[in-house]
Amino acid sequence: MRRQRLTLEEAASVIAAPFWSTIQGKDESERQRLSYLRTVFPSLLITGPFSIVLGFDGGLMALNDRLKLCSMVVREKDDKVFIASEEAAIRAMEPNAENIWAPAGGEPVVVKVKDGAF
Amino acid sequence: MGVEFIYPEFEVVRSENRCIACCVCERQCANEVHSFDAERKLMLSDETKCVNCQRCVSLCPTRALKIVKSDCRLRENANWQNDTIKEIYKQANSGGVLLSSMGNPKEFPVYWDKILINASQVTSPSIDPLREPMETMVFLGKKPEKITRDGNGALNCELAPQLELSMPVMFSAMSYGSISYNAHASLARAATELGIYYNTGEGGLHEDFYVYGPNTIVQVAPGRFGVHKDYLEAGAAVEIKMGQGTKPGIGGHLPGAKILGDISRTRMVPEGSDAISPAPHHDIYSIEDLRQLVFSLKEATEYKKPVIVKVAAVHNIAAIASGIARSGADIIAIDGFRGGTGAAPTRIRDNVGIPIELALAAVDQRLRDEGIRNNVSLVVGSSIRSVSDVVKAIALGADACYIATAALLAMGCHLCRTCQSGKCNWGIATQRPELVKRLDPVIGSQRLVI
Repeated sequence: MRRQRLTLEEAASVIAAPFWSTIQGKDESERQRLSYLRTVFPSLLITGPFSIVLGFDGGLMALNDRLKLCSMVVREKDDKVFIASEEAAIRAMEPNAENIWAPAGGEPVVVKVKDGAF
Repeated sequence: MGVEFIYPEFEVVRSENRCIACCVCERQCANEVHSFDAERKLMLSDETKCVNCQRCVSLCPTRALKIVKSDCRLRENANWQNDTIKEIYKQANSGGVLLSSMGNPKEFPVYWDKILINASQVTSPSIDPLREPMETMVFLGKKPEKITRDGNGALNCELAPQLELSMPVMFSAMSYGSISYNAHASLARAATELGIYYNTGEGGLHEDFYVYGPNTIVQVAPGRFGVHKDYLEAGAAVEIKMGQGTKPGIGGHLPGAKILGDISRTRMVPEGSDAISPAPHHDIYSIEDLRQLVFSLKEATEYKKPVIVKVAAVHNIAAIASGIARSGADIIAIDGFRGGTGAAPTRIRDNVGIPIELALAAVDQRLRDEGIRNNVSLVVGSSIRSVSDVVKAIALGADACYIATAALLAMGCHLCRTCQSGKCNWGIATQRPELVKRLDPVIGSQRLVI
């Protein structure tokens, strides 16, 4: 991302790239974009299980491996976002959190701080 | 008999209890080892002609035959080994150059066997192909150094031409001529079915095989046999052969006896004349010259096909590869000293070149150090024997592997290393119609695919 100036979403499509069979089912421009990224950066693909949270100036990105071998859930409460491997961890911190969802494997969750806060 | 006599290397052991004198062995052996003595109603064998190809052993219906190493030895000598002495006898007998086939059989270290693969188990474990989908698709070709975007910030998805492989394996160059029509047909069909590529070698492309063009790599070797515009256009990629691992520094040699009919037409060489490739391309004596040929071929194919440059692994291979990476080539193929051949001078096969394992690591490192690794893909060959060798090669920096001997074995080759005789009993390295038809391309390709 630093060297090639990839966006967060593009970087996610490189390290947790969708399967070729999934790419085949996408529309033309998306198929081209994803095939291009996989062809140019094949050695950056991580096939095994992982879940990472990447912090950057003004926000963070959470990402699961493409097979979702590791678990990850996201919940929200007011202006806060909680990300954890298990829902129990989030409940311990905020019992009333809402909007639970488990992002699909390889689907990046990008959260940014409010405009002007950074 | 006399001073010329060399005791046969093998003995044919025939179990008299089992032999039913059906003469299958006699019919199957193109070397004419077996014969039937009608008077005594006995099968006889002339071991001086046996090359231990195991054809008779495999086809004997009563399992009456086996071929064993002869125990008649010269007096042992650690310096003057049995083979060394016998080779001198052979040269003194004929005056000819000793010819050999297939890869270097000497006891040099096989570094693949000294490498083990690590696996993690507590932290991130590897995916399990039995439960989880696994992808092996590879693209070979030039990759951009930096991504570019259009005015709206969208990725510019234009790429130099790439070869798409369903797995990082290709069949390496074996010419039509050195191997038979049916062997080529088997490779072409298997490559098509597997979604990979086979390589024509330097003998041109038989007109029947143009239909497999999308899975064919067409080779341009120093002899330029069979090279014309349609040929270049037929393939998915063009390979310039600068060298071959088994005989770095010398060119191919197909004896006139094998240049008949279709082969003569495909190679564009008169029937019966030896097809001798010069060692170098006579228009290439530097990287700048190579660059001219790379771009001539790209011009001829309208920049639609990647160009591969194949070189033998020799001293300073890293510097050579760096030059090739700057010459405009899309893919570099490196062939180690163990690479096979249909015919090579024995002394060169057994003593020239360096191991692919070392060459590969050195080349990958050098290209990375110079920041040009993205300019080219790396393909390596020479005795890649199994999938674990492929994995190790990729771990050392290869993008894909070339396999040839392993493919021949799948088709029935028993590695008797006498391809140069043209009497291959398995129908692979021969042009005799009665032998060629022993290899059924349907079965041959099936065995390759499985």
